[in-house]
Amino acid sequence: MKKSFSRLTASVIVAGLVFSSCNKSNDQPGNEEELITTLRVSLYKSGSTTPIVFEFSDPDGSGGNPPVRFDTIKVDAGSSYNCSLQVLDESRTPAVDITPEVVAEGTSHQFYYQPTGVSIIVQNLNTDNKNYPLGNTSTWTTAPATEGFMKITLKHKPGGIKTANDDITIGETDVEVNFPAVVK
Amino acid sequence: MGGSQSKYFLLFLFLMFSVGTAHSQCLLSLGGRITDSDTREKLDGASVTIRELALTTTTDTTGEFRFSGLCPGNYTIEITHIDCNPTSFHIHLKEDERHDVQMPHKVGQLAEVMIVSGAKATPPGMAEELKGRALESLKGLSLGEALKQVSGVTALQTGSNIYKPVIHGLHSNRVLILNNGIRQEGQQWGSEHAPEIDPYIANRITVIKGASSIRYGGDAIGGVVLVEPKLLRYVPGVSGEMNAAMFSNNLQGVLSGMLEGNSSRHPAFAWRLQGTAKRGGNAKTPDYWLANSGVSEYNGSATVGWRYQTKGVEAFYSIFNTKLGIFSGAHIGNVTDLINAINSKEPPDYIKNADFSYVIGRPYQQVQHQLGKIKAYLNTGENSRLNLVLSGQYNRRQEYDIVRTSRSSPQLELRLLTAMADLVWDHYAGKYLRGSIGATGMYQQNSYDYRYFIPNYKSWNTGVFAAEKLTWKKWQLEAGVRYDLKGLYQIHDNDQSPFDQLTGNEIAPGIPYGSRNFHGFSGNTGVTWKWTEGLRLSVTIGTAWRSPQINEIYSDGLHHGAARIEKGNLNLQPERANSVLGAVQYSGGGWNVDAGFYLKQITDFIYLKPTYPPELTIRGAFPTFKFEQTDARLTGFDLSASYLFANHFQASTKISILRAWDKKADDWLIQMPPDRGELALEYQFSDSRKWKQSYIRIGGMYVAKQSRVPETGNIEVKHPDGSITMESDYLPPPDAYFLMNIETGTDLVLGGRPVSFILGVTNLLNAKYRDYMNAFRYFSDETGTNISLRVKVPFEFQRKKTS
Repeated sequence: MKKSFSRLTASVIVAGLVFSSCNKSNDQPGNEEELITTLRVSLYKSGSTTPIVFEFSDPDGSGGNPPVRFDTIKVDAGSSYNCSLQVLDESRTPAVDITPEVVAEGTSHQFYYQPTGVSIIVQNLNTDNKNYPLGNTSTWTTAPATEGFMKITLKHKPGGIKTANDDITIGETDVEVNFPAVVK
Repeated sequence: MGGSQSKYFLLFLFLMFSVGTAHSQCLLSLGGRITDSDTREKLDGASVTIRELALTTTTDTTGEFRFSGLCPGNYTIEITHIDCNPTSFHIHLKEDERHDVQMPHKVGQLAEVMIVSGAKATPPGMAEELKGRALESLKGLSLGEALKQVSGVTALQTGSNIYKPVIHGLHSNRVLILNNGIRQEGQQWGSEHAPEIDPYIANRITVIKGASSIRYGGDAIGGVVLVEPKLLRYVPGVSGEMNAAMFSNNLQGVLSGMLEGNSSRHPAFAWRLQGTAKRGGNAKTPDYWLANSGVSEYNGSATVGWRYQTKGVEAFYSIFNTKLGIFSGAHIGNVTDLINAINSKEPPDYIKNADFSYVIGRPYQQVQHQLGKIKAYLNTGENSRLNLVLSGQYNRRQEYDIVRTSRSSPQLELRLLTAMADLVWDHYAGKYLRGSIGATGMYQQNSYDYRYFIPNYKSWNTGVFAAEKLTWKKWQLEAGVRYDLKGLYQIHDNDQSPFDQLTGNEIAPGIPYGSRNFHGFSGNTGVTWKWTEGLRLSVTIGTAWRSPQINEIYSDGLHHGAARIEKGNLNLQPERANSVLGAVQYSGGGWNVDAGFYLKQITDFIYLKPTYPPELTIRGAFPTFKFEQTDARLTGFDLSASYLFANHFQASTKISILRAWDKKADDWLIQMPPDRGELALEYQFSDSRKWKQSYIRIGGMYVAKQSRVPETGNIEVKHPDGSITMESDYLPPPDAYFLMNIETGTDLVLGGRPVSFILGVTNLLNAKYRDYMNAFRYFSDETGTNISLRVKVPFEFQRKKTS
């Protein structure tokens, strides 16, 4: 009895090991889902249909290689622009545009614009289904020539914590890029 | 919950029983039966001594002993038996009394506990056991939290329900956990990965501090934790126990049952089934609920064994499943979020206002661990035994983050498969020498999906060892040596892109994810001198090494909760720890003192070194840490002492002190437990016919502020006056704190069996505090008052009534 039992359990253990090792699911998605690698700022000068594009891009995600692209936003003084933001996952081929996902979940997301030292006024943030600001589109108005930074932040505010005039501290940061900015 | 009611009831009963009438004549008797707690055999020839009277008797063939003509008073009874570890108890005699004693078995544990070597498995002072009452009063807690009771052991905490044991400041893969004799091979990489073990399996948990394990691998340079179930029941009958534990703070309930049996028709066969279910909701700090901090756990195990005169086999299977909520307020996206959380000192309102709930939402962890083991032994002659142990383990860890769209998949999944085989020969050469010689082998593979944390890999390890112990007069000499060879190979990530895409410049061209091999010796030698009957002195020196782990070599990425980037290092070499342990153990005159000193020199100590500048990501810049090596020196002192006053009173204290120094940087090491001390006063009630081992204890624990942290680092901290300094942490260590607790317990004899009740209150004063060893100290306070009630009901079915 003892022998047969130990033989049985031994074969069970061995079989278990074999099974699990065959079970290696390399066909599953190997990469992080929901990764954002790129923030793209497209600015349409009033009257123009071709945007000027500025990007922060770190296609291998956090860690690893440094970002491959980190532009300085350059705009003309005394002008107005329509701004459109895109968040992308460029770790995949082809790159995945995550913006529609963010817009669809607009009631739990918000973009913030924080210019420092640079004379850009951001207004007319688009809104989500509840009429709260969302901000993936906006209008920028520039004043005289200055140099500074334009910090763009995407906040994730799940579970109904987003309200009308939320502070930027509410929620969790998905994107925070402090673009150098020049108005000339 | 009727917790407070039953407390008053018990107190009332205690007061009644303590008002006893003392006999003045010396006519009392004390008798009892000594049985082996593991095999339940009646122990013939056990020696029973009343220390105060220097009276000794031995048990007869039925395990019975008896003293008569005793005066009323307090006595210390010491029992020794050749097969068992010595044991003792205190008794207040005021009427004729029977006291049955179960002694823990020794020989069967020899192989399992071969640390330095020898039958008295561990040098005094550096080993501490949790068993019996001490273990009962911790039931329902996770393993890591329970182990905090041992002096010199702290816990690395992640929120209110993830505890990882820290021994003498070392943790993770520097601490080896043996689950029923098998090296626990779980996901040891992260500080938020708690050991995947159900503490209800154990009837004894032993912590061996400092000394490395010759038998199980020399890499445990911090220490070893042994989680041991009792041996199977080889006397006819079916018995079991039900355990229930309830906690007020997070309204947690735990139910655990065990059933075991043996029949007279198949006396060689024994079996046991065991299972635990646990469910807890949000924990509460003194001021607010910790949103999403619930826990649920479902565990089970089965054991069968056959035992014959000269051989035996045992098969064991266990499964552990847990789902652990991660406090919502600790989920941050970047450094700005962390600074906001620190500056606001408390979680934001929308998290603070959360109510109690059992619901566990994202983020959470789901972990499963399965263990299968077959152990067979064959006696090879009168005094030796050959043991073969085969085991397999499967560990699956899934981490579910907060996601934008509703997804059911985790964001990180790691699967670790381990197979091990050990062949060990235990031998006793005459009266003086005993030891073990053996060989071990291990194969392991890890695979992952979703987010990259560590790569897929395979590894193997083979080792040979020998450990011997010589006992001669008042001296014990022990020595052990072990050699290990290990390798890591087939290391790759799931990314289709070139390797350096992931690890960037860290990998030298030409050898991306190459194989790594390591080998080395470890050894221990120790001498123990029994100066007098009650005083033992011992010195142990040891050397051990640990190869760099996969995460230390290859990890590369963001740790969200800690808001930092951690980078592996391909050039890491093994670290080596050389240690000296000194211990003094004294018992006598009501005193029981265990003191241990240690000095550990670790060359090439692997740690996370801050680097500058911070790394830029799409979430802003993060401070970056890279695994580097330095030379470290850990020195410390653990004291555990108790003194029994004449009148039932016992005072006890525990003190742990640690100094951890980085010799190359000439600075303190970060993340080391601060000094701490405990004081407790216990009143032990006299046993009555119905109420046994009743006690009430009040205690306090003081944890100092950790003032010994590195002076500078790579983290920019902005001060209120606008100045910016470079610190080693976002926040200085929290202030010292003091916690009070109270506990009372009794065994109520119902139907001839003791039903045990333990009522406890931790953080009695609802103190508001934060602990340096908790990764969530940036975000929230620790939990407040927690009232717990534990009930254990043993039962037995017997076909024929004896006696």
